[in-house]
Amino acid sequence: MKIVIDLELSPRQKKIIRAAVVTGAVIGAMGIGLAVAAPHQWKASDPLAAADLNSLDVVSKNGKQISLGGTYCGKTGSTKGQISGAYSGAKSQCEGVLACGSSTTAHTCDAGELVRTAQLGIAIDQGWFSTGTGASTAPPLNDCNGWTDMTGSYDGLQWASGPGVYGCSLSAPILCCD
Amino acid sequence: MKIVIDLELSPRQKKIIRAAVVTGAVIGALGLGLAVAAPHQWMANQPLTAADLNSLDIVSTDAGKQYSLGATYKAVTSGSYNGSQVNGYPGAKSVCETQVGSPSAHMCTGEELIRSAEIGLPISATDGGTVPSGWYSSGSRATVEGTPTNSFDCKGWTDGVTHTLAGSYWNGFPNYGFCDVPGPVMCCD
Repeated sequence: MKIVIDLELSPRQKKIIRAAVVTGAVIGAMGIGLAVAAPHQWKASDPLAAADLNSLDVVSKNGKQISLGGTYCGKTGSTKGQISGAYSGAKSQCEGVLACGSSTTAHTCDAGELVRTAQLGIAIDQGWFSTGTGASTAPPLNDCNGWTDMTGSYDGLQWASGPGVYGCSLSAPILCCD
Repeated sequence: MKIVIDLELSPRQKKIIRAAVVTGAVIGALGLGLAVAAPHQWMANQPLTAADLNSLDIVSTDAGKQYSLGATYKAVTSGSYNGSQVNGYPGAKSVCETQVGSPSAHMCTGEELIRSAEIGLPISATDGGTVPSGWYSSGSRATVEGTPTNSFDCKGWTDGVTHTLAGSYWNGFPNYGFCDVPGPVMCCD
């Protein structure tokens, strides 16, 4: 794809842009996929960099990245409801899923992402997903106590053609979205 | 001055760039810093301003309210509230705007707290030490046997007296709280 942009720039802006073109820094940044600290707050005369565009659908904080508007991309190996590192540990496992391209922005699917995926007609395997909701059921339904329980004292949700309640002592893959 | 850039872009990025090309005024940014009614619908020959770009992750109403998208945990309120003292969803947002000092701050949702925990912000019980706790919105309802019998954001954050009703309450993990028991509000932005 080729894009031609005509600009009216001040001498200072031309100097900045010319330097960027000469060094190739602007174009070199394209496609690297590195998100900067978000959200970028643009000011007048700010250059619109590739990194800025690439970060529009990525939250970057705490040295980690997580994509917005995700859909189902793959699953981890089977695990009970206790996941080493809890939520952040589950994300780390998803970052290693080849089907998700070993993406640094991959993460445990949430309900909204799976509903979006299903409506797009994409097949979803059975597995755990996060809701962030605590319900006073018996046992309590709360992402296996924040992915820390494997005793069955808590429940979590698995997608199995739709959301279903499962005891945390059961094993299933973690569903990953990106 | 003419700049030629070759890009491999996602459909979303192409849409944004296409709008910029048509207008031919990408960096003519106005710098107004004001959010407009969202989402902005670009038309041919319309400039792409800094304000437009800044508002891409903000929902703005004609009444001047703002709500950030893709948010993460920021703070808990210094005050405690039962299920009605925040005065509904708008009131919950207002206390968060004050606490965070941002017009786009709001009461966290479960999805935002999950996102925060996944990127390692210290809100999970497994993080050790004192983690924040407080009300957050789920937008869902569960009817169960026992007490409380219903979990649904304390009737949209309007019930602060009924012990058999509950709302979502973060305790280092997703949990529920009785609507008549005061607690702080989890704020995201």
